[in-house]
Amino acid sequence: MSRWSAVVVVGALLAALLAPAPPPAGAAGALRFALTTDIFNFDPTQLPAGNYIMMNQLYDPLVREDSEMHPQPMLAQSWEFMNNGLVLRLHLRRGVTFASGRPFGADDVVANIKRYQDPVVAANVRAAALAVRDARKVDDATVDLVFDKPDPAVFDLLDFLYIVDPAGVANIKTAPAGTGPFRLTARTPGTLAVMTRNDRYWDRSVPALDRVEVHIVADDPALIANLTAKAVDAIEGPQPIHLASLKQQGYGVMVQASPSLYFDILMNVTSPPIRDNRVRQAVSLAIDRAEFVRLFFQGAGKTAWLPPSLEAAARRAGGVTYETKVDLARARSLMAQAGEGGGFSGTLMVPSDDPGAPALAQVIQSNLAQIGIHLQLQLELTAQVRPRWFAYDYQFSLHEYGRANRDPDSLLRTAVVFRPQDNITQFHSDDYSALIDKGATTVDQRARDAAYAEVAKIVLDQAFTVTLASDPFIFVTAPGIRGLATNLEGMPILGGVQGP
Amino acid sequence: MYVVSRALQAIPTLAVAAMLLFTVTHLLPGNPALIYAGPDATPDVVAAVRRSMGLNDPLPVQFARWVERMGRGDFGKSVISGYTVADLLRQSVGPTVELAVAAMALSLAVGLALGIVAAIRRGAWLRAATAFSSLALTLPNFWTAILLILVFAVALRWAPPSGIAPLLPDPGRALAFLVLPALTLSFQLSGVICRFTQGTLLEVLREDYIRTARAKGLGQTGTVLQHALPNAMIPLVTVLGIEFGRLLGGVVIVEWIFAWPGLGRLTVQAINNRDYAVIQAALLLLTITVLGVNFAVDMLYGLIDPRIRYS
Repeated sequence: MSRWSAVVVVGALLAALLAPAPPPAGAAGALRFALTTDIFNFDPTQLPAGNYIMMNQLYDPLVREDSEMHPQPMLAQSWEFMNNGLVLRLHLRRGVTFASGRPFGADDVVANIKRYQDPVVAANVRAAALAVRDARKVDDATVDLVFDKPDPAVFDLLDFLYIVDPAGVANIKTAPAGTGPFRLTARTPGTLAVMTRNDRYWDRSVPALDRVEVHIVADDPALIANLTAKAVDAIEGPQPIHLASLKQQGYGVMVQASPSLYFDILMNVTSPPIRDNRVRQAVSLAIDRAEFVRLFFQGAGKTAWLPPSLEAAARRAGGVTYETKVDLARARSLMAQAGEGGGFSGTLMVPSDDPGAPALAQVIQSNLAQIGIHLQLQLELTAQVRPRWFAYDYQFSLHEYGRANRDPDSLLRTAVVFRPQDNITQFHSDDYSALIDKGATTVDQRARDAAYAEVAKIVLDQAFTVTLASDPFIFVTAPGIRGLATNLEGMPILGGVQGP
Repeated sequence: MYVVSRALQAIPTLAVAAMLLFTVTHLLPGNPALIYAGPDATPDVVAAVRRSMGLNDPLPVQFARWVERMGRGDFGKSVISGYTVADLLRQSVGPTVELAVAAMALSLAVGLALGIVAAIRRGAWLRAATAFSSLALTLPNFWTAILLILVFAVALRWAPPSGIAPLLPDPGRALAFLVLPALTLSFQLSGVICRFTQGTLLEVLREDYIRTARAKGLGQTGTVLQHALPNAMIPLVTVLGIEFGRLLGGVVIVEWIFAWPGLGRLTVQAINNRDYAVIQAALLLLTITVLGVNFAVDMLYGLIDPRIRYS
């Protein structure tokens, strides 16, 4: 190669390197969405946050609950209760097809109910699905769900029951087989998923977009840079510290109004210094929830002392009274009454990969030191923390529970920190179990509210898990993006989104 | 004979590494059944998932099964994503090789050039090279990455902030995606190479045989290229071999920040999910790569200095 040709080659390479970036792929009708967590797999029975982006795009549930928790038709077009609430008859939508082109019908609902109940499938709502004793096909478009006892929270289950084509179950982790408004057309694990418009979708008014690109950008500063460099049109999960600046720059900020996730502090009720519920109450009184919300969420989160659905039920039943301000004097008095006036040292286990948890842990550490509880923080990955919860190998631990904005039964019967059996705080009470059972099987709303008011009193008095603050899903969109919505759980619904 | 003996030495190393990798992976706290079953799983669900994943068998049985499958070229399946490990590796090896080769080439080009010029010219060049290598060695990768993204992607819009594009049909677009991660990854290594080249060359240039070469009338360029540089190469090659391992470590962070779908990113995700089959295969592949580089370094020694080959 002559000297001149070498110069030309090097020059061409430099020009390519220094040339402006190619125009963004976001042509009209396309949305580029960046998330911090990769899609786990395409099985809708699995509900880690990474799967949220694909759920309502590739699948449809039987119903979708609105913000007032009223079920709206999806694959089930109408329904009625029969036999005193022991049978729920679902009338299915006709003209719906799966990605394979196979028509959807009653047999598919029956097969899906059975699949959600199978322990090997490990559906995250299996506990709720087990309330269905039997699912029976009446005709091609009608299914009866049969219960042993009335299930007032059944629509929470149906809202989570995303229907999979039984013929596609074998490869469901890699090849989605739903009826949703989009189809998966490309996938690079860890980086990218591309969904394109499903032209056979039963609702002709959606989707407005032709294509959705899901980019995985795990690093927070890189996530923000992608948005501000216009490499993507929308992001989910930015650290709240960026919100004020992004708003100023004209980006749309959407914070989940009624969050499903809440931070709580677990206390192992068999651990000697916190065996006494007065010590646990002192912990609750000493934690400055507002400080955490102000510091970490920049005001975007909400403080809480009870799960909101439980609090609402208790309020309807006449209310429960509890202190909503930090009260160090009362906390110290409770510590003294429990014989712990001199304080003690302990450990607080913190899932370090849960954004917000390390900041909350530092607030708690500082707050509890004021009443003599000196905590050493143990920051570990969720993969390490979870087995320790299940083995009761912790003293204090930060945690998050979901479904806080659903029917109280959906939370109390299934969440590991509230459920009466296999509760990871090791709290057990026959009264508590009986009240939860009553709430789960009573149709009369007043009687249910009364039962849940009693549950709320036990939760506040025993303080085995102390609710602290919401952890809302946060979305930021470029100017011009309209129509982004979420379901109650915070899963994006992109069918109505109109692109830039 | 030299090549064969070196290759044979790698076999027991690989066997021990495989056994250690398997054991350590399974000794990590947590298991994939707990991750897969979700945060609110009941004990019976966790037990059913464990059984279905074959995790109830004794560890030696699982190890034997893994080795037997590997022998058939079957790396297993990711229990989380459902993809075969072979598919995941196939998709991630290419991008990592692309990034590592680009970073290595950039490091060598910048580090060698600056090191040689600094050693020959000294004065301001030496001070500039020392400042450059000090800066490169002290800046952590994640900081350099964010800085480059802010300047070149957000402010100047010269390159995309993250992601990847295939080399064909648009190599220019592929290069645009590659430039920031490659610059980030090469920055530290170019500092190491610059400092090492400059130090070794300064030492070699004081040797008697260099003075003899100059006295015989050989020009400065000829002296450096024919006599000084080959003698400075052996320690430099050693350092490059060691630094390649560090480069693979740096790949993890760079791939994470730049959403680069490579082996480092795959490994971190697999570790977070306790996805044993993926962790084991990815780490084994990295081990083989490091062994391969060491082997290549040994071969280079032999090429550069025949005395090593004959001994």
